[in-house]
Amino acid sequence: MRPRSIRLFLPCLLLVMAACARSGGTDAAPTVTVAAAANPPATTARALPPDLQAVYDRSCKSCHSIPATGAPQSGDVAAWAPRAAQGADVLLDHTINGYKAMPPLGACMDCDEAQFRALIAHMATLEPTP
Amino acid sequence: MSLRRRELFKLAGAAGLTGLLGRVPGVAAATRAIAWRNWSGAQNCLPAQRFAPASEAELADWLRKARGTVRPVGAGHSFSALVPTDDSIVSLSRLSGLIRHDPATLQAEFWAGTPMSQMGAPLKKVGQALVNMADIDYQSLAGAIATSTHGTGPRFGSYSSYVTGLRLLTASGDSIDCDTSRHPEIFNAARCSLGALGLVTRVRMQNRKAFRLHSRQWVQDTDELLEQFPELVRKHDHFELNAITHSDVSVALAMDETADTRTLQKEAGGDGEKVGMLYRMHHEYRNWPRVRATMLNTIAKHLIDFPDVIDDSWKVFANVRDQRFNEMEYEVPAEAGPACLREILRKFRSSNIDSFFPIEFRYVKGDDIPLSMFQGRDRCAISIHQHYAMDYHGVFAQIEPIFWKYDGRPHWGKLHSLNARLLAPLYPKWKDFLAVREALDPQGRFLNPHLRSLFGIA
Repeated sequence: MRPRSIRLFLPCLLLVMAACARSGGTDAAPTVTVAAAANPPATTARALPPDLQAVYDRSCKSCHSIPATGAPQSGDVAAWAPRAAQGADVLLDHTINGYKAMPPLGACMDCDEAQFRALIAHMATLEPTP
Repeated sequence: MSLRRRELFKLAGAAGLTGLLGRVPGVAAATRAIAWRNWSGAQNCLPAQRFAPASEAELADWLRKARGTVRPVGAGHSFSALVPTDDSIVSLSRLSGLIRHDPATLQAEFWAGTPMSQMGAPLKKVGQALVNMADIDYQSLAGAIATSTHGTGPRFGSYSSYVTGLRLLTASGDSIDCDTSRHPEIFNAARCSLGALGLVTRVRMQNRKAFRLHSRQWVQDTDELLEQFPELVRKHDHFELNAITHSDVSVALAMDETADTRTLQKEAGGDGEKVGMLYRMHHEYRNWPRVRATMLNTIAKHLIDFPDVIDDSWKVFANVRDQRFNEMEYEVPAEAGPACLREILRKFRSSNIDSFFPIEFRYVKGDDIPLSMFQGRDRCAISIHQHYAMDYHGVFAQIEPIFWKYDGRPHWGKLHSLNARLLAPLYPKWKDFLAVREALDPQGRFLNPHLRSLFGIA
């Protein structure tokens, strides 16, 4: 449990921050933020066998090739590095059970474990694990 | 222990078959028993077979031979137990994409397994767009119409209301093409069927010309917004509010068609930061409700930025939801919506309910589909969410009676506690639907325990 003083301090700090924000921005025009166009990641993904490519196209591509989804993009080595560091089994578990926006089974209801592992390896540019 | 034994039997049996027959296309191999679960994780099952046909002919042949219960599965974004079965789940993910379109009528036929997220781009290429969309697009087309999934706006019905024709494969493997002139009673029932009539393989949608939307969000006192609600829904094409529980404020969202050619893209990523802030406020200050309310009011009004978005319609409607939750939603008569929401918000504060997700409040036009939640009149959709890792039973049990008081109908894809005895009086055409279901599937092959409870079939 956090110290009581922190709990008391945080509301005061936020109220002061809010007051400052208000004093500086009341008459300002509404903020319109243009999201920076996401640069496509450097793609280093290897080609897939035709049957797995078909699975990728219908189940993975709609998130893992569109940066706005927030999903790590296929072949984006930097985005996958911290995920890969968790180990292939963790990534497989996230695929099968779902994780954040990721749907369970990765939207492939008929995939088996080997296919999931191969698709993960493809997107993360890892060596496939058995 | 029994589950483990069953898993082992399934593994052993399936492994043996696979060894004899090799890999069967479209049928999951059995290197490991893989359970199906929905997005929130609250529903799951270990089906004997997961099947994804590559064609209607393959599906029809499989249906004729299949034994046991058959349940269709889409994206797994329903929160209720529509899918779980020990027998077979069928995915139409291989039956995906635009089949044909008609520029004169602005109708387009899609394979029913098409994800809603995959409809916007091909429709734009032919100059069309879905008339309205839900706030997420993870669903499959078949799943969305099976549960009357909806967006918001007083002039717009649910996805089901824009279906102008469909193909249904029945339990016998027969194919029925239906619309308002061919098998109209089946067509109307199948526009919202919970997957209880058969497997819908093709859907023809009434669309409109492609268009762009301008989305604006702002924070305002909830009482003010509810007083202005009739005017706001008239003024904007699409309007909704998200009431921040345990506070006095809501985030209002208005989306209007625009001729503005600028593009202000939606920010990438999900809603984790905002949801995380709500969680921290709730977690840290739940025992100090007045402090929590002040904090939430202040932060929402002054410290959170809500950028405008201008883009193609489908890119504006859809959001990334990366914070998993369970959800209960009821549709109450439109005129009762504000009073119902006020009572729910009072209950949250008076009982200090352990939940922090905003309550979504939307407006949907009525239709004439027997099992649609919007059959007969315009309704307000009120959605209660609970973080997936927190218990939802107690929260939903405290709120659900308020919905009953306002003549609410539960969303078929979301959690509720009603069965046939309580549902039948809510739907004037209840028996019409049950008659169609009985005629098409007398053996109840598409019924799992949840559907049997909903329809009162032993």
